[in-house]
This record gives sequence, structure tokens and C-alpha cells, in this order.
Amino acid sequence: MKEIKISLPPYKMICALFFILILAIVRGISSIKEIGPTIDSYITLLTLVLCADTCYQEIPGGGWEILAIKPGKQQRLTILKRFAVQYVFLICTAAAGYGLFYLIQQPYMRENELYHFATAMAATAASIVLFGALPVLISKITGSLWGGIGAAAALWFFLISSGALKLPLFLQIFAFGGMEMGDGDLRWIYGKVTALVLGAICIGAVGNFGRHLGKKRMKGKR
Amino acid sequence: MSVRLENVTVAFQKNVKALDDVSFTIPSGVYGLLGENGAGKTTLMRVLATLLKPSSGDVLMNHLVYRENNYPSIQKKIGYLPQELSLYPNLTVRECLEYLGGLSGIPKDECKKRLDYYLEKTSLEEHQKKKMKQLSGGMKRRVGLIQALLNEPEFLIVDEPTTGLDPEERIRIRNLLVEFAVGRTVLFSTHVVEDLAATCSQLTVLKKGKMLYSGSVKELLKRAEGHTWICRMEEEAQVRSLEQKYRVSSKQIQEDGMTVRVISPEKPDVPCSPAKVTLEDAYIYVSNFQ
Repeated sequence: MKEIKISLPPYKMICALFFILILAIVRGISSIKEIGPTIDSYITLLTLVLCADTCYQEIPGGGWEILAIKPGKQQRLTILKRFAVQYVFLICTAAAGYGLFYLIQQPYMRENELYHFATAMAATAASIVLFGALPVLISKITGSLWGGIGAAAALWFFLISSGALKLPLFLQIFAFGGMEMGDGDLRWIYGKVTALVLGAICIGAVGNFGRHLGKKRMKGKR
Repeated sequence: MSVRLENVTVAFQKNVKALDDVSFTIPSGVYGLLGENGAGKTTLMRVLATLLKPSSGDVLMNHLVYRENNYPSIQKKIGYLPQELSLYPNLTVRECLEYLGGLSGIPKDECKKRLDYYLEKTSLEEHQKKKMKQLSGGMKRRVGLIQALLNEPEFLIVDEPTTGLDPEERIRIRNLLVEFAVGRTVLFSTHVVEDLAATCSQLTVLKKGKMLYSGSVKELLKRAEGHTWICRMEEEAQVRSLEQKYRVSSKQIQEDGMTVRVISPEKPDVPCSPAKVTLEDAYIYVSNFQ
């Protein structure tokens, strides 16, 4: 599949694997319950950097000029495929990261292992969907790759901070595994549903590759 | 197929006009677009490729007006090679072209046939398994041209397709464009006059966004007739003085001095004789004296 070669060049895969390996080494955990939330919040940072150039990569080489005249349906389809490829890779990376944490940190509290793994992957997937699409949309609107990464990173930073606890529960995207969530408390799902909905909206709003004619603004008829 | 531009103006902020009230018709065959760097050629091509909307004026493809709701129908008929194009470094030439062919909606079998044909025509057959990042500038240019030809467009827009090509490749590409233009329209933009002389019979000359000339190559040559001179100089100082007074299009050192080609509305005040006008002379004459 050509989208894999386009969206996931070797340097991106290597960076992702190193990121998750280093995280598993330096981030200490004592209980298996801590792995999921850690993976969820940090893989999001990796996601927003990795996915940001899904469409933007066509601008420097001038590829947008030929893609913009391709049928709109084909453009949307190829963008969806690029998202899908990156999402699958990131979920696999998250799963690998979970395994690395398990092996390297050797958490001593181990119960319901499969349940914790499944919920962690589900929660992480929702974060990946939102934070994969958001920087792409912002980059497309602003015309700046770093603008997209920066804005999405700022939002991520706020959402993992204690400030996010003041938000309504459905906006607490990273409530999964938070201190205020007791065992068996599934209210974190609201935030993840919001992440999925917002992610889908962002993907829909990205639409096509767009036209990128630089900073010269046009006058007159638009 | 013909494309008509009617009073097209493209203005950017601070009232900088990249195109200023440009009107001409592009008929079937290869049509040249000539102009110095910054003349507005790329802007014009972007307008024709539906990438840029003019600030005022209209563009018509046959009777189809360039409007947002007509863009899908227009885009189906267009093939476009932009001035700068660097595609997917990790894909091979063939993969890259298959990918773009798929995006154009060309069925796989048909795409394969066309690819084989154009790879052979552009001498890229032996390089089809190379990754895009391994290609030279000229090879990338040829890949760019194939992607523009792949959907067999009725209106092909090529922005400096021969840049970076060696002389033999340039000839090959020019011939390919001429062959392709049978029953179709090809807009060939360049600042290499030689390429247009070899391919088109009609052209438009742009300068600083304004149209200086639109019509046949013959008529353009006629305009410069009687204004091209060959002067023989013996000393370097004489040549320098001539360059200060007149537009010198070429200099050639010979055993008995220097032959200087001068474009001037009047006969230079040095010993000289009229020369046979080339398209380059005519272009210089039109862009500087009309």
C-alpha cells in the first residue's frame, strides 16, 4: 500500500519506537493500572507530531498543485487512507509500548490484566483519532505546520494539566485513570466519546488537500 | 478544444498585479507562453489549472465558464505540470505514477498501459524502479510530465517542462508534446525561446503581468524584421560602447574580431548589416521596443 510509504517513512517509525522505548524506561509505574493512562497521554503527543503533515507534506514539493485538481472524492479517500494507516501504526505502537512498560517496569500490582490492556487501547485510540486530525486541520487553516503542531500541543498540555479538571466531564479527554476516577468508574468514556466525535469532525473538515498559494492575499473576486 | 481568457486580472495585496487585463485565445495544438521570470506565466497557468481565481475577468474552456461549480468538469479535462514538483521520495517512479493515476480515477489496467507507453517515450523505462529521491532534476521533470499526461487531458498545461533536461531529452520531450497535441490543446510555458520555436506556431508574450503580443510566430518574426543587425567589431571597447547604446542579443568571438547581434528599431551607427530574424530576436524586440 503506497499510503504506508507516503505517510510512514522509516524515520517516523524509528522515532515513534524510540519515543515509546524511552518512555517505558524513564516513566516509573508501580501498578498495571498506571500503564494505560501513561500511554494514553504520551502517545497523544507523539500522534500530533507524527500526523501533522498528513496533508502539509504536499506543500513544499508542490504536490498540492496536482492533487488539488484531482476529483474531490479521490482526494478525500486518499486522506482518509493516510489517517487510517497512521492510526493503525500508532495504536500498534501504543500496544507495543504497553508491552514494554510491562517488561521493563515489571509492575507488582497485577490484576485484570486483559481488561486493563483493552481499556487502555480503547482510550488511547480515541485520543489518537482526535490528536491525529486536529493538527492537520489547524495546519490546513493556518498554512503552517508548526502552527498546527503548536496549537494542538498547547491543547494537549492543558488537557493533561490539573486545569482540565474544572471542565465538564465530557470535555475531560484525559480523565481515563485520573486520581478522581475510582476502580470501575467508567465516566472517562464521556471524554473519549467527545474525542472521537471531535476527531471525526476534524477529519471531515480537512476534506481535501486544498490550495496553498502562499501569503499573498487576493483582491477582488474570490 | 479552445480556451479563452477575457480581461483576466490577478491582483494581490498592495495592488500588485500579477496579471493585468490579459485577453487571448488558446486554440488546438501547442500554444506558447513566453516571458521573463516574474512575467506572470505561472500565475496565468494556475488560473487556467483552476488553482487560482482571477480578481476580475473570465476564462472559458469551449463554452464552459471557469466557476467553482464548473471546476469538477473542467478539472477532468486538465493535465498540469507545475513549475516545481518534487513527489513522494520513498515511492519508486512507477509506484508514484500509479498512485497519481489512481487519484485521477484511471482504471488500473489502463493506467498500466499508459504508464508503459509514457515511460518508454520519456526514456524513464529503465529508471522506473528507482525511488523518487534517487532521481536527477531532469528525471523528476519527466515524471512530472508523465503524471500530467496520464489522464490524457484535452487541455495540457506545462510550466517549463524542459528545465534541467539535456539537449536530446529536450528534443524528445518537445516532440512528445507535439504528438500529444494532435486534437488537443497544449499550453507550453517557458523562457527558453528555442523550445517554442521548435514546437508552436502561435504564442503569447507576457511582461510584468501585461500581454505584449498574442498571435502567430510568423507575425512576431515579421515585427522584428528590419530591426536585427549584425555588427563586426574589432576592439573590445567598441563592443562595450555598442552595448551601452543598443540591445545586444549575442556576441561571438572570431579570429578577426567580434560579431555582435544587435536588436534596435533604428540602424546602429556602426558598420552593420541586416540579419535574419530569429524568434529570440523577435521576443527581445517586442519586450523592449513595443
